[in-house]
Amino acid sequence: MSRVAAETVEQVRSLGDRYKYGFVTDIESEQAPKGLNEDIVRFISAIKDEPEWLLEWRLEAFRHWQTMTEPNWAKLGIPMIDYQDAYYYSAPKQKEGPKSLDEVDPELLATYDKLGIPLREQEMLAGVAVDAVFDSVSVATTFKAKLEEHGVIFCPISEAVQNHPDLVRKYLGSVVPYTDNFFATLNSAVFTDGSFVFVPKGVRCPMELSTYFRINAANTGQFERTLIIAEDSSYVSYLEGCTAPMRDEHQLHAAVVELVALDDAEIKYSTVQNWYPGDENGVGGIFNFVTKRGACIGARSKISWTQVETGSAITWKYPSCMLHGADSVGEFYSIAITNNYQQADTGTKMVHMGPRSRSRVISKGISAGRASNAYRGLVKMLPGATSARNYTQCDSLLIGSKCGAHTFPYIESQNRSARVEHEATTSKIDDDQLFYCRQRGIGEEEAVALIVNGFCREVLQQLPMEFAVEAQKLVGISLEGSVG
Amino acid sequence: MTLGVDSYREAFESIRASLPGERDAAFDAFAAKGFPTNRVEAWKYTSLRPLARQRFRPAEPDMEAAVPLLGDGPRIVLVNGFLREDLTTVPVGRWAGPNGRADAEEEPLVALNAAMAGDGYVLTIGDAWEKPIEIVHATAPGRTGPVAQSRNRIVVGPGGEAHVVERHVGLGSGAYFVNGVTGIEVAAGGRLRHTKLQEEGADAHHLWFMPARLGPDAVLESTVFTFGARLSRNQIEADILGEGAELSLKGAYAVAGRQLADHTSRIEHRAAGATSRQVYKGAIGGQARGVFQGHIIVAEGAQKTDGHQLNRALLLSGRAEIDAKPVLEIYADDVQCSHGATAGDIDGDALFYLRTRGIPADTARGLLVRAFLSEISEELPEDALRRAVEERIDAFLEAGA
Repeated sequence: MSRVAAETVEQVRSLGDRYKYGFVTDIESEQAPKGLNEDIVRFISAIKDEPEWLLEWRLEAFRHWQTMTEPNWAKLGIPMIDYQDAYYYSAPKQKEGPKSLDEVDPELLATYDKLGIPLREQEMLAGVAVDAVFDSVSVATTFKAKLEEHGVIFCPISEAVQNHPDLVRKYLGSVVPYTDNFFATLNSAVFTDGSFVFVPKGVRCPMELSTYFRINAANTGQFERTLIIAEDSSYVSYLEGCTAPMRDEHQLHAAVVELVALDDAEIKYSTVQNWYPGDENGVGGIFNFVTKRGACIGARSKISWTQVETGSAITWKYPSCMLHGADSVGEFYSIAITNNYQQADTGTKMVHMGPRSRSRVISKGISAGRASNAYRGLVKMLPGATSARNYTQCDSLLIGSKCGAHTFPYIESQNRSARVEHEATTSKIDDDQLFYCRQRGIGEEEAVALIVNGFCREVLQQLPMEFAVEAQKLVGISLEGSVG
Repeated sequence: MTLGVDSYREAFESIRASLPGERDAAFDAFAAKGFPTNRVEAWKYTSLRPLARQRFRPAEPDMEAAVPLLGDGPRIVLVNGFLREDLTTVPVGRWAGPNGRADAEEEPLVALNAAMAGDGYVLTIGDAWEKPIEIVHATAPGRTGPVAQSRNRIVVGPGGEAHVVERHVGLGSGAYFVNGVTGIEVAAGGRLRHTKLQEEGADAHHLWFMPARLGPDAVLESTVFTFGARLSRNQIEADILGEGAELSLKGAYAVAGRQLADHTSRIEHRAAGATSRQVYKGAIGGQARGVFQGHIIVAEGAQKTDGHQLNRALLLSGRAEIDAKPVLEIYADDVQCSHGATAGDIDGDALFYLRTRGIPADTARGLLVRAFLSEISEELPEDALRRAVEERIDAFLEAGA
């Protein structure tokens, strides 16, 4: 048994409780009135003291959104969402922005401790800068000084709007226009905060950047907007992870992430998503409708998406790469685990425009209980994609006879010299492997976690170290109760 | 607004009195949806808009036309969708129209066929046939483009075994539209090999729908070769209803110019322990397009299903295009399912290898395309049939695709 697998078993054993992040922090929230209309959009923009052009952009998005209908093509059963029955702005009450951790509400800090994000500890040990988003407002940012030294801008997007308006104006909506899709358009109108990263020419970001998103306060939709720009020959690795409190009412989350990579730049974007999936009867849980897209604009640029999706009642998410640049590279590594009544429809789009652009898609879907797990992907070779190359592999694993695993790949090639290869398999956990583990005294549930971790190995390996450990734990936790 | 309904309503009204059976319900089912547009997921890649705008008159029986035959074995001949008894040597039944119930077909074009089809054979295979049965669907374009619609059925009983070869040919040049159905039922233990050779005229539109049902331990091997027609779609929907059934669907196509060849299949495993295999290979030249949509569904309870699918396309010109959508939809856990798809030009290394041996580039390309398609054609048991396919491939290569 490999060392990594042994660790996993250890971790799975140590995590007895089902969902250890199910708690609610009691902090008085500053909320906008319920509902969605132009006034709310103006309210959000005003409270953030935004420039006129951004308000106009939001309003245009909102007007466009009113003409749109929810997409229904995904293999998801989505209950009716009443967009008027939600709060679109809620911020932890605070008089002024905190200058250091000492000024942060101790209750918030305690919440992060429970989540396993020890800010101070990380500051000293891990060398990871954390921009923690609590509900909609960024609460604390660390390591700023060090990043500034290198010229890296890493701050809440609301702050970037104030301090770097030209950059935001140039790139916001350049990859995901406000007309893109129902949820992205909604986000454009009402986004409250998120992260902004700018890595200047030739700079290799000195540390992994990480943001923890957390949904709090009942009936609050969260609409993050993340924008990452990597200038020529720069490199940045960005980690995103999330957990949410246990609730019985569905919560909507519609984020937009835009990545821009210029000549020779590389962006690595990793996600561990562990939002509340609902209970074993399918009650509650987060609705996660996310638009993530990266543009490899420059020659030889590279964007790599890695995701571990274990949470949410419904996941609708297709991190994509628009490969404009010659010799640009797009990658997508994904693990999606659904259990009980969870539903996931996730995958990627690789659109090849530049000559010799390359893409690689590795997707692992695991479905247990009564869950539905679908991979949906597009690989498109446009006439300009001379000698472009794609390789796609999607594997699905089924645990139990009541779940479903589906694969919906779309392959479109308009260039003879482009090569596209696609493979997909669906099977169940191998009885022999299970027997082998059981024979050595490993309990069935642990054995399943072990085998599934092995199945996902190719993707787990892509994660930065500290997340790989957490992700392995999640794989085990997410499948608890799926066997026996 | 529904596409193409008005002109077909006119055509339908003009012949309704002469058609056997109750037709209105079927026509209403068509009229409710009209020709599918690209917004319908199953027709995302194949546009019927130009076809729907064209006006065709309902085809009429032609008792004079000479029909080219492959062999002198048992045969069934239809011209313009009507059985030619004088040329048919096999005892067959005739389709008598929709059976009273509203044929609320999901596919509007199948409903249109149910509304307007004037004839069709019913071939029952009760025991083993030694020689292949040749079925020719010929269409004469005439001066005004006809729409030929026939509705056919092949029923293989327990112990029945046969090879049926369905050929689709155009008699002379000109535009016409063929919208046909061949339903296949293979009962417990029956075996059917079905080969389709589509050689319609250059200006033809060919839409053919093949619903199939397999009983326990039934074996169906269906292979399609697509060469003709401006636009064609071969759509198979197979329901595997019996345990231990074996289904094999294969296809080879070679298209050029502005042709579009669409191969769509949907296999639903509704019984345990059955296997399905699909292999589709296409060579696409000129500005032609290939479309492949393969869908395997494994229903809840269909354990021990073994389903595999492969689609490979060669793009032989800078303006050729392939669109593929191989879907797996699985609701049972104890299964082995996979699909694979590739698209690209001829392998550069293989070409180089041949050229180092002094074989000119054009010849080498031809050899490689032939080799690529022969995986499907070499399995044909009859020499005459295999030769006919190979000749079409040669003609395709000589035309400089």
